[in-house]
Amino acid sequence: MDLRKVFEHTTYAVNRRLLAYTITIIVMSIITSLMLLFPGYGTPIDVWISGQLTIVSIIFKILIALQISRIAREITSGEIQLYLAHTLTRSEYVLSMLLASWFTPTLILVSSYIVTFTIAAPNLVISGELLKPLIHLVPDLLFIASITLFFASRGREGIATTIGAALPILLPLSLSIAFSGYMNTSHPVYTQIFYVFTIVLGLMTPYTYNLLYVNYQNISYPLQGNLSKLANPTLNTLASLALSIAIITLTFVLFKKKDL
Amino acid sequence: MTMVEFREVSKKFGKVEALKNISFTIPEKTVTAFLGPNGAGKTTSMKLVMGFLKPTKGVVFVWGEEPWRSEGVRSRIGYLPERPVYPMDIAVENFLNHLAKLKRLSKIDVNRVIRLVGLENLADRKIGTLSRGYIQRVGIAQSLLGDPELLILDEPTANLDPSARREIIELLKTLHKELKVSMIISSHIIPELQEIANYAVIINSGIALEYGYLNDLWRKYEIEAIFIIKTVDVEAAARILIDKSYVHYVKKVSNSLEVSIDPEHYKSFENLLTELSGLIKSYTFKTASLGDLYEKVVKSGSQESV
Repeated sequence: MDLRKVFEHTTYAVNRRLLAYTITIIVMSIITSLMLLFPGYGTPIDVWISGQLTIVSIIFKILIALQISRIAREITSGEIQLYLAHTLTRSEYVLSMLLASWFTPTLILVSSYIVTFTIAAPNLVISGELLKPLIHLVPDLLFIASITLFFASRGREGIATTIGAALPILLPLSLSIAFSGYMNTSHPVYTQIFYVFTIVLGLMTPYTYNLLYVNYQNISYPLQGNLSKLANPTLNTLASLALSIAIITLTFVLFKKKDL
Repeated sequence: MTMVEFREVSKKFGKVEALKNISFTIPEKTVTAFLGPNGAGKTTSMKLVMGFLKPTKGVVFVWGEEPWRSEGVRSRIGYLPERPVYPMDIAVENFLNHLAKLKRLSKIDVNRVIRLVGLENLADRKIGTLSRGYIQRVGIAQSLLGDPELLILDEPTANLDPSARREIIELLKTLHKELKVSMIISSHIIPELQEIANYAVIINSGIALEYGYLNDLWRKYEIEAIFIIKTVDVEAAARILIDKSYVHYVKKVSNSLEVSIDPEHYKSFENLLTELSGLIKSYTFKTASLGDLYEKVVKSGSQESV
């Protein structure tokens, strides 16, 4: 794989596509920075702040999904043939599109975290405490990117767009319901069902899983569910990361054989 | 040396069999007319050469390599796709610059192809604002980046008006003359390839009916070439022309001459007419012998299948 070509095509794709979303990205980065100022200056992350940050992450996920789903249009229209005809390999093409559509927005979001915290609480940045949400946020964005990439690379723009736009909203919502159901139900069958859903959905949105886990950890009144039976957020995030990498690998393998 | 070889190649899309066990070869340094009606399998064949498709059965070789496995083969090929699939929101120059960067080419190379296809004054315009003829020029420009050894042009004149079509054919003729590049050109408008091709592959319904050098095919299918010549002295010109061994007949038609020749001597006859420029005012090629050839091949192909 020629990384220089990957870089060239990534830059080209970012310039062409992502610049159209510049205003959205700037606004979202400002909101992120403002929300992060509170914990940066010592205020604990409450529901309101985490809600705002979740909304920003959802918007970023939708943005990423919409960008990636456009690969399908390049495949069906035949535009991809132009790039492949100029020596870009199939793997280089997919990687550059992933970098342009997932890595660049993620880098911008991560930068807003780092810059804000560096200004507000450099000592907490050094200790790594305030950057913990990023450990869960980046794999969360990657999962949406990988699943959208899979369908987009099959040339299924409709499915890729629908899934890519729906999952960022549905996953946190469903996980909240499942998590809450697990923690507040005593019926063994329902508990089992909610448990399975929590585990499965947790893999798909590790950022939300972490938020819910931490929130339930801090609840002082007695709950029906046993939090310790659920996966630790870091373990869940690692599993989610592994799942995303598996999906991306499968995408690369299948795309190598795809008729264009 | 063989440049492209199809060895018992079949390609299926679901239940539709686009190519049915076809075999043919294309030698180097040829301009190949890839002939067949719409849906014959021309685009599928070209995509197989580019490695965009994998054969369902059989093997495609390009310079001895399988293009769908060895993606490096594409670096030696320039490709013009059938549909104008160019990003419409980008300026011509920026688009070509990006493709050039992928091939490690400089801006000088980009400017050269822009000049070559006559887009100097439109280089800063967005592709979407250009007419179809000029968009096709953008396509040809991108296919020429990096001085490819082989140009694959899929319906280069499709959806163009007659004057734009004429311009593109003239451009291809110039390119062939100046760059000496091998070409595979598909078209269902047969006469326009007459002027440029010296080799042909004729396919119909996914079957290769015939392939070979045009001189050989003309002879095999007994196709004759007819010129209409306007001259200042009909009698004198007729006397000179009839003496040539490859001239079948010379007929006076009003103030012109109708001359039938052995198509194998097409070039030497043209050279003769150029030598006789004091006597010959102008000449046109009347018979679209490639069209005649195509019809004869298709006819014999259908008779064989009956």
